[in-house]
Parts: sequence; C-alpha cells; structure tokens
Amino acid sequence: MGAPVLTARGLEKVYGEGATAVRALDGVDFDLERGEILVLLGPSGSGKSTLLNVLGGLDAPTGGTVRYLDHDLSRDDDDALTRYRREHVGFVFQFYNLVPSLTARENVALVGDLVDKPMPPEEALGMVGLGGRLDHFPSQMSGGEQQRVAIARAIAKRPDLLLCDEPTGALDAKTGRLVLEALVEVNRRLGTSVAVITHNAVIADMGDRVVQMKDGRIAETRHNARRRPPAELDW
Amino acid sequence: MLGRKLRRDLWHMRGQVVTIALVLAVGVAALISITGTYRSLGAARDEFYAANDFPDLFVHLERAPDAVASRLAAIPGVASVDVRLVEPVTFLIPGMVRPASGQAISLPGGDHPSMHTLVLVRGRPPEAGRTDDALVLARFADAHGLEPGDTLTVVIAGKQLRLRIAGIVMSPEWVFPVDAAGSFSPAAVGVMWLPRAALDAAAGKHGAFDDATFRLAPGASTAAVIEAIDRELARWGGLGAHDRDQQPSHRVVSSELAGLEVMGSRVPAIFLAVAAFLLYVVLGRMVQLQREQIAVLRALGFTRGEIGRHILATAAVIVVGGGAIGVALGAWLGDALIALYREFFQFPGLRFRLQVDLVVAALAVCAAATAVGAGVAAWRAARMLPAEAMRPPAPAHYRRGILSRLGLARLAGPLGRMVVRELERRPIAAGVTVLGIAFAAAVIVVGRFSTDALDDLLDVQMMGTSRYDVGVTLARPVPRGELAWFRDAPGVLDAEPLRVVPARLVAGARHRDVPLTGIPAGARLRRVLDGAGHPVAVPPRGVMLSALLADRLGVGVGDVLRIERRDGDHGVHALEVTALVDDRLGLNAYVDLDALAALLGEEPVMSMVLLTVDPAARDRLIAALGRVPAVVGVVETAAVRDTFLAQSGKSMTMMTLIVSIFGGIIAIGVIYNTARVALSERARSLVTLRVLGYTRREVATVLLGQLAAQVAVAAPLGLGLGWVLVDAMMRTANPEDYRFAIVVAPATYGFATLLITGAALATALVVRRKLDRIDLIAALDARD
Ligand SMILES: Nc1ncnc2c1ncn2[C@@H]1O[C@H](COP(=O)(O)OP(=O)(O)O)[C@@H](O)[C@H]1O
Ligand SMILES: [Mg+2]
Repeated sequence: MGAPVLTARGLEKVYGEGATAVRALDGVDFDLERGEILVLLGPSGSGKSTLLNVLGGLDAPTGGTVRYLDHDLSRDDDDALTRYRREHVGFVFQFYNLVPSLTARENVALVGDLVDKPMPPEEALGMVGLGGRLDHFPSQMSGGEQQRVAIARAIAKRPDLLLCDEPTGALDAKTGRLVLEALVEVNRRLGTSVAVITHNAVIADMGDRVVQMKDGRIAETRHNARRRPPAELDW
Repeated sequence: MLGRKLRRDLWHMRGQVVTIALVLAVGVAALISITGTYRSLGAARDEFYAANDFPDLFVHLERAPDAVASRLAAIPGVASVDVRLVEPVTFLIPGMVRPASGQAISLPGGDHPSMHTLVLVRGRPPEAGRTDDALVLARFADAHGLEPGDTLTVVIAGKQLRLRIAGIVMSPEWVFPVDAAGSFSPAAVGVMWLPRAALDAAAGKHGAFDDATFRLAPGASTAAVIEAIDRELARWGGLGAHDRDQQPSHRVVSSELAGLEVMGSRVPAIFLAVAAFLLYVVLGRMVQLQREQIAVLRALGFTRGEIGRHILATAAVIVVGGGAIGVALGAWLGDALIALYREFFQFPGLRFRLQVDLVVAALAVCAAATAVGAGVAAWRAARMLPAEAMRPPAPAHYRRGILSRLGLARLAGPLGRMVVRELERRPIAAGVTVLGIAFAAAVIVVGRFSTDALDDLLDVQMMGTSRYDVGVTLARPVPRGELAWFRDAPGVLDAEPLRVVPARLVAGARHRDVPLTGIPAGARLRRVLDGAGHPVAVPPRGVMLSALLADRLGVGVGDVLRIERRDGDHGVHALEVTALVDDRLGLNAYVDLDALAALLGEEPVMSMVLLTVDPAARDRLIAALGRVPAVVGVVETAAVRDTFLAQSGKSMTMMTLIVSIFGGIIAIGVIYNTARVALSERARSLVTLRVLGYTRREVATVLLGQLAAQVAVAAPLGLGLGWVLVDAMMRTANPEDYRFAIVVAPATYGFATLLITGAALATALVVRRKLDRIDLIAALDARD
C-alpha cells in the first residue's frame, strides 16, 4: 500500500462542557492508506461515527489535526469543507438518505452537477448491480436496493474516499452481502479508499485492516492476511 | 411531563406559534375594531336620537295659527307634535368674507323653554323671560370660536338683532349642517335656538307656527299619517310632510354609515374568515410535523385522549394568546378610529364600545378553526400505529406528475426536479398553501379597494359631473335672462343655468322624493356621466332616471311617472321615462331645461347658476355674490371635495392602513409557516444534499424555489380573488347616495404583489439562516 490519504493525529472531539462533557474522541491517531478497505469496529458509543464524520468533513474536531494528503482539514471553514466533500468524499449511511422525490438515476445524477468528470449514472448503478432499476423511485425499491443506490450516488463522482457508517445496519444478511460486494467492486475497479463502520465482527474479515475502537480511543489495529469476499461472510 | 413537553414544544416552535397567533390576532382585531367602530357610530346615533326625541316626521308650511296644532295632534298615529317657528337667519360674524346663513328655531315650551331636543355642551339654558338668550349649534360655534357669553349679531326678517350666547348645543336634527345646495359646511351654515317669544317678535308671526315635527305612535303607518298631515295643512301652505329619509342631516348620517358598511362589516368578516382558514391549515401542518413524536408517546403508553388533549392544549395557548392580543389591539384601534370619526359625526355619546358579541364571535370562529385544524391532524396522528415510529421511515411516495411528463423536470436539473416533484407529490397541500398566500393578497386588495373606489368617485364622478368652480343657489327661481348678469360679473369665465324642482316621483304604489334636475342642452358645467365615466346627453323630452332609481320605482323606459311638485306649488304632471343612466352619485331624475319649463307651464327659469371663475378674482366674486339678496348659497366645488376628503378620506385612509398592515401580517404568517413546515419536512433530503457536497446556497434554492413557485402562482391568483371578493361585496351593498364603481387601481395590485413578495423574501431570509445552521449529523441521525 502507498502513502496514507488521510492522517489524523491526537484527534479529540468533546461534546458539551463541564460535568456533562462527553469525550467522543480522546486522542485518536489514525491513517487511511490509499486503496485499502478499512473496517472500524467497536461497541455502540465508542466514537466510530464521530471519527468518520470528522474524517469526512461533516464535523470539526475540538483538538488534534486531520490531513487529507497534505491539506489540513482541521483548519477549514465550512465552505472549504464543503469543497472537500464535493471533490473527494463519498458517504454511505445506515439510513440510505436518498432524495425521495428523485428516481434512482436522478439520485445518482445529483452528484453529476458537482464534479467535472462524473461517472454516468447508468455506469454507477451498473457497478452496484442495479442496471435494471434506473427509473424507480426510492419508495419502489427494497432497503438493499436503496442502499446500493446510495453507494452508486457516492461513487458517481469518483471520490478518493468512500466512508460508510453501518451500511448494512438496517439490512438482513443476504442483502447486506450484496451491498458489501458493491463496496468491494468499487474499491477494485476505481481504487477508492474505503472505510466501513460496523459493530458486526464478521464483516471485519472483508477488510485489509481492522481498527478496533473503545471509549473514544483506538484499542487495537490488525492486518488481515487475506481479504475474504463478502459472499463468504455469514451472520 | 407532557406539560413540560408542551412548554418546550411551544418554545421550540416559537416562530410559528407567534406568527399563527398574530394571524389570529389580526383577524380578531379587524372585526373588533372596524366593525366595532361602525356599530359604535350606529349605536351613538340611535342613542342620540332616542334621548333627544329626534322626530319621525317633519313638515314646513307657510304659516298656521297655533290652534291647528291640536288638530295635528289628533291625527291617528301621531304620538306627539311640536310646533315651532323656523326662520332664515343671517349671521354677521366679524371677519367672514360672506355672511353665514342658516336657521333660527324656536324652542318649545313658551316662557319656560324646554331643551328636550338638545344636548347642552357648554353654557346654560336660556333664562326664563329673557328674549336675547340664544343657543348656538356646537359645530358652527366651534368653526367660529364662539363661546357662551359672547354677543352675536344676526338678521332675521330684515331686522338686526343683538343676542347673547347662553349655551352651545348639539341637536339630532343638525348632526350635519347642510346648506341650501345640500352640501355639508359647518362654518357656512349656522343654526341657533331662541325662546319662542323672541322669535315671534323678530319674525312677526305672533300666535302662528310655520314648522312642525311629529313622533309617531308605535305601529302607525307613516304614509297614512303623512297624508293626513298634508290634508290638514293644505290650506296653510304645507310643503308636504316627510319622514327621516328626507331630513337633510339624517340623510347624510345614514348615507355616511351606509358608505361605511362595506368597509365596516364586510371587510373584517372576510379577514376573519381568511385568518380562520389559515389557522386551520397551518395548525394542521404543525401537528402533522409532530407525527413521529406522537407515535413515540403512543408507544410509551399514552392514550389517544391524553395526546389529543396535549395537542389541543398547544392550540389553546395560541388561541388564547392570539385572541387576547387581538382583543387588546382591536380595542386600541377602535378608540383611534372613533377619535377620527368624532370630528365628523357629532354624537354626544360617541365612544368606542367593545362589542361583546363581536369578541365572542371572533374568538369562537378562531377557536373552531383551531380545534378542527389541530384536531383532525391530531386524530390522524394518534391513529398511527406506534410501531411506525420505531421503524426507519419509508421513503415518501413520489411519481412523475404532469409537470415532469411535460419535460419541465428535465429542463430544471436535479434540484429543480426536486422542487417540481415535491409540488406534484402533494398537489393538495401545495394548492392549499397557494390558496393561503392568494387569500393574503386578496385581503390586501379588498382592504385598499375602498380608497380606490373613493378616489374614483371623487375624481371621475364628482369632478366629472360638476365641472364648475362655484354653485350659486338662488332664493327663488329667476328668468334665464338673468344669466347675463352673472356672466358679466367680474371674474366669471362661464355661467350655466340649472333648475332644481323638489318633487315626488310616483309610479303606481311606489314613490320617491327626488328633485327634477333641469339641465340645458349641451351643458358643459353640469354633466351626466355613466358608470364608465362617459358623458351622457339628457334626452330632449321626457325624463332620464338613474338606473337604481328606476329599479326602486319599478319602472323602465316608456313608462310614465306621475310628478307631484313639492316646492309649494302643488301641481301634478305626467312625464315619460325616456332613458336610464347608470350614474354613481345619488338618485337622480334629469330633464332637459326647456322641456322642464314646458312641462311645468312656466317661462324658462333657473334656481341655480353654475360658474367657472378666474382664480385670481374668486374671493372678491364670492364676497360680491354674498351681498346679492337673491343669492342664498354659494358653494365652491373644491371645498366640497376637500371637505369630503378631509372627513371621509381621513378615516378611510386610516382603515385602509390598518387593513394593509393586517394583510401583510397574514401574508407573513402564511408564507413563514409554509416555509418552516417545508423545511422540517425536508430537512433530511436537504442535509443529504449538503453531505454530497452541495453548497448552502444551492440547497436553499430547493426549498426557496418551491416557495417562489408557490408565491408566483399565488400572487396573480390572489389579485383575481381580491377582485372577485370586491365584486361580491359591492353587489350586496349599494348605498343610494353614491355607488362605488368596482375599480381596483393598478397601484393596489402592485402594492399587494409587493407586500406578498416582501413577506416571501423576509421569510426566505429567515429560513435560509435556519437552513445554514442546521446540524448535519443530527439531521442524518434523526429518523425524520
Ligand atoms: N451531538 C452529540 N452531542 C453529544 N454527544 C454526542 C453527540 N454525538 C455523539 N455523542 C456522543 O459521543 C459518543 C460517541 O458517539 P458515536 O461516535 O456516535 O458512537 P458510535 O458511532 O461508535 O456508536 C457517544 O457517547 C455519544 O453519546
Ligand atoms: Mg454510530
């Protein structure tokens, strides 16, 4: 693997003040390598989402630094963060957050307006196995299909990073595997660096690296000798 | 616990709560203040009339011995008679260009004058036995700064008298001092009361009376009593008894009140209805937004009843708060309006009265709208299965609607498509919003219409029909040849004769007392205009009636009217209706001047002369005219217009201002709430766009684009709706003295559009700020 795309050092995020303050991130050092699939594991409340949001420029840390390549995100204002998200980051959330008033194709096309050379929506949807459902509205699709549209939408702008927060959290195992396969496919074909949050330890086997979080800190980092294809995973 | 939630919810939604409460408040305030003012005026008049024995019937005659009074009192249906002397009087007021003319009236009660028909404002009643104590009408006294104790020089029947002002009074017969030409002029028309003995001596009418007033017994037939009076007084030169409708002051009072009726009773009702409708819509939506929370409460085990009560409590806070503001605001504005009218209507008991029934009605309408609006939504929410709240929300159902199929969506790009689809998804909700905004625009149009109509009436009608500068009323008709004298008077540019003959127009069982107005062929100064403001020629034979008069008499072109003269000559004539005209000022019967002379069998005469004058010579001319014995009245057209504007105009302007402000508040209330609800409903989609990398500005366009689209449709719709409301309003109200044209000035449309657009922009700014500050992560985690 090459140099890290994302580098976080001494990252802190404190919610609230005084006695009621919550240290969601408490001194996190973290790298995301180019082209890797990284799985973030940890119990609920351990700070996974907070970390991902900070990395993706949705939230600002209260301490420490985050760098995208050699650009310091922790000093960016809202406009600069918006530009960062627009140019480099794709997000996938547990609840798919599709725009209900737009079809699958149109939801993907949404990002087409944001970048110079977007992927045609048909191609992005094809990559996640939805080439045949281009003109359906979200309400006409299953949860797994909606999540794959969300992935297609995230990758259509050919992001450098794909950040996924519990992408299978609301799905059954079978649909969940289809969604994970879509992520692997994107990583393989586009070389996108992918970070996936899950509290499901089985899923950790699909990653190059697994980072375990606990109480706002990184408890453990391990390398998988071999990535297991999602089809082999079961839960 | 629910109580705490209630307080927090109210605080959280304070923007919405306040705007909704304000919409409600202005609906209530409009009704209480404007309708309350209108009714207070009516009540003050009725009380004045009742407390000071305003007569039911009036008659003037040449002269009859006092003994005739008992014969009049014996007429069946007559409850009481007051006989008196009413003599023309000239007031010699130092410093006045032309002497004021007016009437001297004897007080009833012989040596111990009774004041039962008068209200003493300042000073004291006349002393018994004194013959130089006079009472003077307050309006006239105020116009000239006369006070009790001042001396007053008057001329009655050619004799100059020096009197002492004992008191200043108001009289129900003289709420409006109307001069011989029928126009309202407080400074030029003087009225005073003297003990009978003093006037007897001055007028030389000992033991006789020349005027009588009557109170009718309950259930008496006015027509029958009038007939009996006229029979009784025929040999004493009776000029024909008439009821209150012909009494000059009462005529003005009632036509002013009738003119206020539209503004006073209809506009506020429309306001309240609109406010109630908006309340219903907006509250329903607000509850709808709380759907999820309601489901969670249900899941926790709260009953539907408890939740329903909770929601209605929210609504109750708004109704009580808005209602209280509305009542207070309404009472305050009512006071201010009455203060304006006090100058105009001199009723002793004139004050703003908070009308309990109006308050109750206004609050009841609002409470009902609130209860139904909130109730329906609450019921729907409570019916939802609690489990629905536990599940991730199902995406709302969208499909391609007509606009998308037309290709509009494709044109617009993804963001534009979101706008189009949102409107298509819930056409009813979008339609209701559009209707709400449209109503706000319509209300503004309705509110300003009265001013437009008044302007039209003054500028097009009054100025178009009366193109003379000065109207001169003559004591008695003179041959038309005399016109040359006026034409040659210094300063006169043009002169034209006019002949007005008091008459009763009879058609079968119906009749109206309307003077015949004789206009010369080719008249330039006194013209007849139709409803559109185009001049209409008076036909060379027969009579041309106002369309409304023809309607009231039940006649049309070709019918023959019976004309009974009412000017002392009791001639009866027949006259064919040869034309109708849809004129706007008064009920009129126009006859060609020569044809009128032929009909009456007299030489061509004139009773008025209309003049255009050189402005530089005007004052001198008017002073000169005042010294001509044959001239009894000189009226400047501009003064009439100014008086009208100063009086009616001021209060109308104030009401229009109130209504405009209220319309603006309603507009803001609707638009703000619409945008806030849209923001809450769509927060998730909008945040997703932000996460994808759309800028705040781009995201705002989705929400504000929807608002803009709705406003763009609503504004023209509202203007049209305004016109329809105005039309409906005017169709049901038509005072006889002037008929408003249904004119809405372009400026009014412009103003309404501007106000709506302004409200939309202000809202857009607020919503934009809220949108900017939305917490991305919280909104994504929230389920909806
Ligand atoms: N907006 C917030 N305000 C206060 N505390 C928060 C907020 N968001 C997250 N937290 C707290 O920060 C901690 C980490 O949360 P999160 O990153 O969402 O955990 P995870 O995704 O691992 O479940 C938790 O204790 C959570 O309660
Ligand atoms: Mg999380």
